Amino acid sequence: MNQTITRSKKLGWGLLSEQLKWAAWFLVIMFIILIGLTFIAGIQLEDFLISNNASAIFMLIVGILYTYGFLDYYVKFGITRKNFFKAALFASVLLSIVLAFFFVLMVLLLEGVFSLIGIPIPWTEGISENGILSALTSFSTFTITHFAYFLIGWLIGLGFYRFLWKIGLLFVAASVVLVSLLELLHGSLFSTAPISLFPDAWMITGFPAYLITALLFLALITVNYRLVKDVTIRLH
Amino acid sequence: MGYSVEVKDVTLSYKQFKAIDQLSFRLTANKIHGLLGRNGAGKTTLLTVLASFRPAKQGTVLIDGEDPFENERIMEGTAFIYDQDHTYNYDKVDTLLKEMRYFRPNYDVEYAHSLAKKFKIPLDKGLDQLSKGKQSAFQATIGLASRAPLTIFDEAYLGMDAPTRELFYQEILAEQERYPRTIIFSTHLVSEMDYLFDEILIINEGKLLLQDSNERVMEKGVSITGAQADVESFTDTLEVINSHSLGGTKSVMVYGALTEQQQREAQELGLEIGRLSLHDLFVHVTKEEES
Repeated sequence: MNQTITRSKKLGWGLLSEQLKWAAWFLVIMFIILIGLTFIAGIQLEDFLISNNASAIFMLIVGILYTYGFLDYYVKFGITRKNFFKAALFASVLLSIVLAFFFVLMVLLLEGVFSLIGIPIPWTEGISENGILSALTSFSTFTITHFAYFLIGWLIGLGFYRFLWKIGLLFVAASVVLVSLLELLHGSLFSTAPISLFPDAWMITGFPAYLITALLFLALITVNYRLVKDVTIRLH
Repeated sequence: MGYSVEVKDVTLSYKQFKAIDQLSFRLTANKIHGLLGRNGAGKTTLLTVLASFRPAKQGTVLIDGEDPFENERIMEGTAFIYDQDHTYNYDKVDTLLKEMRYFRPNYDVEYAHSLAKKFKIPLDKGLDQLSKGKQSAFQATIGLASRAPLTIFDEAYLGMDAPTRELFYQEILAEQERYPRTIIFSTHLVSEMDYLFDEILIINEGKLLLQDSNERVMEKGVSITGAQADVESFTDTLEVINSHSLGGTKSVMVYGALTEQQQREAQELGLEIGRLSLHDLFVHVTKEEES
């Protein structure tokens, strides 16, 4: 049992260190793009932070790649699906947190640079404008967004890996519904625009929104585990 | 150290097609088992079940006495080496060889490096950059150095040239002496590898056709060589499965053992009686089933 725990932990740290490399690349590229767009092109990014698509899509892609890139690889080397699942969950929670932290740090750094050289912050509701509380709020909402998109990406990847593309497409459709549900709970942090499945009047805010989000995460983790636990590893 | 394998009434279907049909057999630990079968016989499907790539939904599989599926001890002790696509594996060979330590408890990294040297695999290149033959040699290196109690090679030599294959076979025999384990070798190159096998299993259309020790399988027939007319008259009533003629000499493979009287007759005629070729036997028994 102890050996199992050690193995999952080791595997989890291994997974995390690999994705931290990806995240570092992502942040560096984002930094260059944002500097380039602002200084060279002078483009206003308006709702860049309000809908934080960039790091959310990064997590979605990481989630999709988890099955093809990691589950497939590790099980072929004799790791059980269950151990992989535990390690993946551990790594993805930490990645969601670490990425949110450094993303907020990057935005703060950029906002600092902009105000230092006297140009207006090119996006609305800048993190540095409302002090430490704003930074903490952004950090926590980004963490939730990251983890949600990761779980959804993982679901899509598993759908395609397990059932191939035709049924895999149904998982994409299910994901659109899930993101729409999350939009009802968290507003524009989640968006399936231009598709609008649910009316704005159905929006839920405050504690119930976070409770439902936690239940949704739990449901997604359960469904993903169900899909992983006896999946056939493909020979390719 | 090796794991025993017990397969009981395992059936596996892809939609309407039965890839494995009520298959049952046992494999003794610490032996090299040759798994032979024609294309589509169900070999790879069977091996994916043994390697826990898929569950056995119908029937039972026991490896070292336990159900292998999602069994940590058995899975980490089972190495399945097959013709893998490495197009998207950009990691360096050296990194990958070292990484295996984490996955396989008995993995010997120094032995892996010595094998890589023997197979002339460049350590500083990405796996995707290696030629097909070198990628196969890399796979063989991992398979051997993992020293997994159950090691499965499924056509693992594809792309290797003849001298590399020979080196691989010699290394298997040397390793088996040093660290005995259970090896399952699925192959098409029967004639080249028959000397490796302790036990032989032949499957066809998902069913077991034959399982026996190499010696006993070889006793299932003989080769008879001599003057063409004598060989033809002697084998007239026997089941000939293959024949070759060169000048006035003829050599035939006969299915079925010779009686003592037949052996005396052959001696009197000056015919040479030799071992059956596993290749010919394999072609014969799988062909028979086909008809």
